[in-house]
This record gives sequence, C-alpha cells and structure tokens, in this order.
Amino acid sequence: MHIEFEFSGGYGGLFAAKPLGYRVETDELPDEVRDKLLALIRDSGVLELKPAQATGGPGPQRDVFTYSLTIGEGAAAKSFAFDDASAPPAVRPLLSRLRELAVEQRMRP
Amino acid sequence: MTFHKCNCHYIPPHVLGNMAKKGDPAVRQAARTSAQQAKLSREKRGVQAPKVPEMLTGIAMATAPAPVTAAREVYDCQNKWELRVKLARGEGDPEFGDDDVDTVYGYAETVRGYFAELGRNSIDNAGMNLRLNVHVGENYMNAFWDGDEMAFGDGDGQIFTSFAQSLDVMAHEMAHGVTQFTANLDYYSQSGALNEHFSDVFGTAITQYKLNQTVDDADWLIGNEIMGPTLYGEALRSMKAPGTAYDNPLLGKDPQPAHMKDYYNGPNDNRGVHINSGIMNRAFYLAATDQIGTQKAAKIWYHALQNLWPTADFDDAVEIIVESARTLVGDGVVPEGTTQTVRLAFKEVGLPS
Repeated sequence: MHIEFEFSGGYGGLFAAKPLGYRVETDELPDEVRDKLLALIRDSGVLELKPAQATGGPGPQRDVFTYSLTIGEGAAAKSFAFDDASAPPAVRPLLSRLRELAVEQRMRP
Repeated sequence: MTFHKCNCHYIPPHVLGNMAKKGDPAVRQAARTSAQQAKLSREKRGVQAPKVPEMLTGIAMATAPAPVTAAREVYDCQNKWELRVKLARGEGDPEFGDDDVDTVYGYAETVRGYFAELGRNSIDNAGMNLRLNVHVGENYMNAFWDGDEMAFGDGDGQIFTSFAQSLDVMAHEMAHGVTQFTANLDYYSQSGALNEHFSDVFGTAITQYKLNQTVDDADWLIGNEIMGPTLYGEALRSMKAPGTAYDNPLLGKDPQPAHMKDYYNGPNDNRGVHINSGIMNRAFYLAATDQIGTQKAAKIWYHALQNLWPTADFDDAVEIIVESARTLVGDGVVPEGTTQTVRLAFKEVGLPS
C-alpha cells in the first residue's frame, strides 16, 4: 500500500516553512513495522471516512499539528487533511505513528 | 480572591449580529466578540446556529452551561487521544501526586493571577473555568488550545520533554484563549502571526514575572525548557534574535525573520503564522529592553489586544499599540517617552511597512 504523509505546525511551528514528509510502500517496510502500520490503518477506519469527516479547516484551535495523508494506489488513492483537534479520535493513533516514522526517517544518518 | 461570576445568559445569534452593527462602540465590540465566540463554538462542534422557533421554546435557556468561577480543572488523559478523560485535580483539591497534574495546576494560578492583575477575569473576562489536559496522547510532542481548553503532551523524552512542565508553554496556550475572546485574530497570514505574537509576548512576560527577571536576566527564548537530549541547548523561537533559535538536522534552520525585508510570503504555516511572528516579537523585545521593561510593555500590548480586530495586519497593530502607549502614558501607567520608544522599536523592524 502506498502512503504519502506530511505534517507541520504545533506550538513550536515545527517544519513551518516546509512540512516534514514520509513516503513509503508498506511492502518495503520491515515486517513488524508494516504489520503495525497496516493494523493502525485498519483500526482507524480512515479508508471508510467520507471527505467531510476528514477535512481540517479553520476553527478556534491554535497550535495544532496539521496533516496531509494519501493512502492507496493510483486512481483509487484517497487523500485527507486533518489537524490534532478535528481528526476523528480513531485516526489519531495512526497520525501519531506516521509522525514518529517521519521523524525517525529524518533522524537516520 | 473571588472568581465567582455567573455567565449563564444566552443571546440569539441574530440579535448579537444586529447589536454588533448598531449601538455605541463598547456595545458593538461586546456583541461582536460574543457573536464570534458563538460562531467559533458552533464551528468546533460542527453544529448550525439554532433556529429562532427552537430558541423561543426555552430549550436554550434550560441547557445553558452551569455558572463558572475561573476554577482550575486539571484532567489526566492517561495517554489517550482524547480530552477530559479523568478529572485529577479541581480548584482547591490537594496534590494529586502526578508531577504534570500538580505542576500545571500551579502554573495556572500564576497565569490566572497575572491576567487578573491586568484587570481580566479569566480567559473570557467572565470567569471561564481553566480546563487543562495533561498526558494527552502517547509521546505527543505538542501543546495546543482547542477553542475551549488546553492540551499538553508528554513529549517523547528524547526530542521534547513534557509540555506541561513549562510555564512559558502554558501561558502561551492560555493567551490564545485570551486573544480568542478579545481581538479574535484570524489564524492566517499577518493576523495569524499577530495571534502567535501575542501568545509569545504573554508566555515570555509571565515567565519573567514569575522568575522575577529583568530584561537583562531573561533569555528571551521560547521553548528552550522543553528540549530533550536530542535538541538540548536549542529553542523554538528567539524574541531577541529571530532566526537563531535552532539549526540542526532534525528541525532544520529557524525560519523566523527579524525584519520586514525578510518577510515570509509562502503558503505554508497558514501563510507564516509561526514564522512572521518573529518580526513582531523582535519589536516587543526592542521596546521592552529600551527602558520600558517587559511588564510595562506587556501592559501596552494587552491594552492594544483589546482594541484590535480579527483581520488586523501588522500596520494596524503598530497603529493600535502606539495608540495604547499614548493612552497609558496619559494615564500615568507607563513613563513619558514610552510612545517614542515603541515607535522606534517598530521602525527598527521595518514597520509600518
């Protein structure tokens, strides 16, 4: 499964000028990492979300992380925009894991 | 100190809208702010404004919120990705025994007291309770204001430590609430950068106040106290020298400009709300360190915040802040010469543009 993910913002305004990205084919990940990620995708129900349930937009929240997420292949891929306050609770563990993977990738020598 | 004040009235949105267009300036401002708050609250909850016939039934009155007292409510979110999981410590309760719960409880008193000294009764100036959520999520590297309450993550312990352990962070987030209930600055472009700037101003001013620091003692850094071992010695922003807070392989280089000539015009970060705030932050630093002092400068900025409006830009803010300086000179709150000092501070960062 193809995943493209970006995040930025928060209290620190992290990666404000250029969001931190993570792009991966899950088949290329180590088994343990892949299995956990696919389980989070399944448990999040993200692929069943309607666009209106997955669109971060202007609101009163301040200093939240904002995310863009594309999952799937070619024309069947689905894209979402979230932020920490408006993301459905079930999706938040997936966003957290993708954020960790993006940071780990950046830190890798 | 007494914090009790009932705030259980309800005014229909269309009435607030009309009040905001008519009447004397004070009524217009109050109505405009109330209408904005109601709209924001509805947006957050994804609900429409109630229709008039519904309101005439009295249902809205029957479901009005309970009286509020500016009381502290600290919730332990138990590393779940939701808020208000368990009330750990309410106003007047004994120590809970969790470092983050008890620390944030203490910080909230400092911040509440600081704004009370400025003449403000809590976030909304009507005794709104202070809801603080700690241990939000797993290894969550952030703190935010959600429109009603504050949330603090534990950090991962490597890059960031607990956000609940920083008075600067807590004051910054609570100041977002104060801004929401005053100027209600749009979180986009220059008005958004002003929104971030005012939070940095109060985060810094309250920290210096608590630590009894002078402008020379203060580090003028934002976020340095939550850096973990990976980033130890770095900060997230510098009010003294924007653009120098960090430079490392993980975060890259601090993108904040210190002068309008380096203004960020890109589309990211809601068009630079955390980036261009550096220009205004530098102006505040220059004003505070040029004889005024941080606390008197903060009084000027707070006065101005109450007279700004959602779409205000940097030039508008300069005009209103200088006007506030003049007003407070006239009231004897700040010394003669302050207006010129503030004007000079803005000139040094290229404002007005």
